[in-house]
Amino acid sequence: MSNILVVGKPNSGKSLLFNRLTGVTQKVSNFPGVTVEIKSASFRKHQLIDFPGTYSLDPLTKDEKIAVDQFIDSISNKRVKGVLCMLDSTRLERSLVFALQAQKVALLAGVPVVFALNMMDQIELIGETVDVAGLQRDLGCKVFAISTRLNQGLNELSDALDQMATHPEKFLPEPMPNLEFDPIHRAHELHEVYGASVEKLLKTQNRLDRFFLSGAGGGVAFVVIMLLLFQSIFTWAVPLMDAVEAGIGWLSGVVTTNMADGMVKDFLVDAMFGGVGSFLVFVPQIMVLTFIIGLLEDSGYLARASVICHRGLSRVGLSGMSFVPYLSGFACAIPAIFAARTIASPRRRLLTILTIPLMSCSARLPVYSLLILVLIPPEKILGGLIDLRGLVFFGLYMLGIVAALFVSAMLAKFAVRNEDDVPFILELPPYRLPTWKPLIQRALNSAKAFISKAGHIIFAITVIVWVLGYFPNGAGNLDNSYLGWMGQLIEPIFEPWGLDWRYGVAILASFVAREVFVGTLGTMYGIAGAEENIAGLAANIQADGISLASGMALLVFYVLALQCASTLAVMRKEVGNNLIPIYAFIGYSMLAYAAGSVTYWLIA
Amino acid sequence: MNKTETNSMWSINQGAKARVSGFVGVSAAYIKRMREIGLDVGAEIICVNRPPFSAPRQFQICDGVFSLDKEIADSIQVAPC
Repeated sequence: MSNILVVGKPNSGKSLLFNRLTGVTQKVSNFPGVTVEIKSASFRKHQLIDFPGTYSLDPLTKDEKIAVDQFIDSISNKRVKGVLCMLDSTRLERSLVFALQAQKVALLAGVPVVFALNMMDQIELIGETVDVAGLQRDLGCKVFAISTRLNQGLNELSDALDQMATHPEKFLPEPMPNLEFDPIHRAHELHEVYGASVEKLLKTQNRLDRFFLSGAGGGVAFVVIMLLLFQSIFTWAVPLMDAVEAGIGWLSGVVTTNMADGMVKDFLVDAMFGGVGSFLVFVPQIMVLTFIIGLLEDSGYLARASVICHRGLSRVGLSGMSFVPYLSGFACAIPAIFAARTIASPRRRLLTILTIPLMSCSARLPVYSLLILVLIPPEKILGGLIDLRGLVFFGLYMLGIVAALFVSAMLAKFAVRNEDDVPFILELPPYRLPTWKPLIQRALNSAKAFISKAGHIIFAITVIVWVLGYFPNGAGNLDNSYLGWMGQLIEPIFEPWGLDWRYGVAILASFVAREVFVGTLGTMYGIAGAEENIAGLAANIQADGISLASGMALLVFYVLALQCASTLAVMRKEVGNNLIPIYAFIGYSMLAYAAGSVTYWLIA
Repeated sequence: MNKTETNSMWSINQGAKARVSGFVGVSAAYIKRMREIGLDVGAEIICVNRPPFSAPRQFQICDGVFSLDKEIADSIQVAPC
């Protein structure tokens, strides 16, 4: 199988083109540096390999180094039959600086190059044009004018790529163009002769930036956008959550109504519908969260948020570039840790990676939601404007953020060496209207990935918990089961918070993955005889009684504890040190327990 | 700024234009990167936004807009156009 390498400057639309050509749904957004890993997928009979965007073949950041090293290695690989180099027609000069460097390396290695001149719809929109034929003549390689967003020009490009991969020799320029030039000056010349004036686009962008980045307006907009993000998780997701809950209840009825009483029925009711089912109810919230984050990324606002946060974050040893990994951490810590590769300063990068686990990831969402439903009444405040549950939810996220900043400041002061720092330079992408289809697709993928990633762990632990809780005395005898006896042994750990052994078991089980908490608790309540309200775990817990102090202590514990084996593994890989994740795990566990105890003591 | 004066990029007023005249205390690797993003000696830049509280400022550099913090903007010397 022949390979085609896809390269280009950051935010030039590579990933969206890659998705369009291969049919996969890789994450796409309007923020420089979203692709931090090399991805590949099938394109017709060939393989398309998407590289992280870079401004130059002289890398400064870790993601650039990965891209450049891999590109240089790949270009001499016999399987590589061509290079597709992305150009952004609205940022032509900047795109050409990298493109000319990549073209030189490829042609000297005997590998043909095709250029895709993207975002031509934007140029047409302002009544400008790019001289594609002239550019093609001077570059000595084929140039295709395309718009990945509007799906324009992609058929011609696809055919050309197919031909290039099949007959690469036909795409090598004859004669070879002069490659002995300074790419910076050459890019400037080519842009001057063939490029479009983008003054109109920049004027609009600058006007919006003056609002979003200046003074009170920008600050208020930032707070409102963040508040809306967390409010929407509780308000927009509710109808979907209700539907899932009703669906599980209906399915349970269909499956178990005509079944004979016994162990199989007990297992289905308690473990499957009570345990796994109660976890599924919260999946719509993960979809809403992913959708909103995607919306912010696609609009170009995230880069502005990074700028707004830069000054504050630098005071605690971080950088404005830490904002995007932090925000990604609300979905999942693993891609967030990878996203930290875009931070050039090794010190700030390490501090970001170490504190990302304090961002409340989607795995905590079911735990937060369940406990908030149990503890907080469904009331509106401020004249019905703000939902109280949404506000508590926002508070938990804020607690994680504040803790991350505090931990970072402490580590920056006492633990992480102050090396030569790297300056903050960030390209501001243009504002764009979001493309809905990829956003919806991304939200659906997040649900699918969450279920498939956590599903098998939850299922396995639910089965173990059910077996231990069911035997030797059957349903309704949880206290006298193997699980009950084991739970009573560990009860003293969480007893000071007023929590009985069932919570202790659920917390310990969730050290494998946080999501397990809800399923484990659901299974235990099922065995204990609450099966008549299968998916209504919150109602079962309320009926059973849990104090506000105990519940809040539990919530604070979940905000701070690092209960994710995958995060620790990725952290180890990214920092290249075995001890750091161990220290992080122990440190965050101690912090979580101490903070939970203080919370209980304060409220009780 | 008068026509012969050299100042740091951080001092450019909002809406004012200037030309890059040199770099002070920046590593060679960073000078190369700055040239690649358009901050080459002789390049014309415009300060498009000066947010308060020493937050990073926005500069139109060639066909793009970049945000630079005080530390780096102070190390880029500019002269009036």
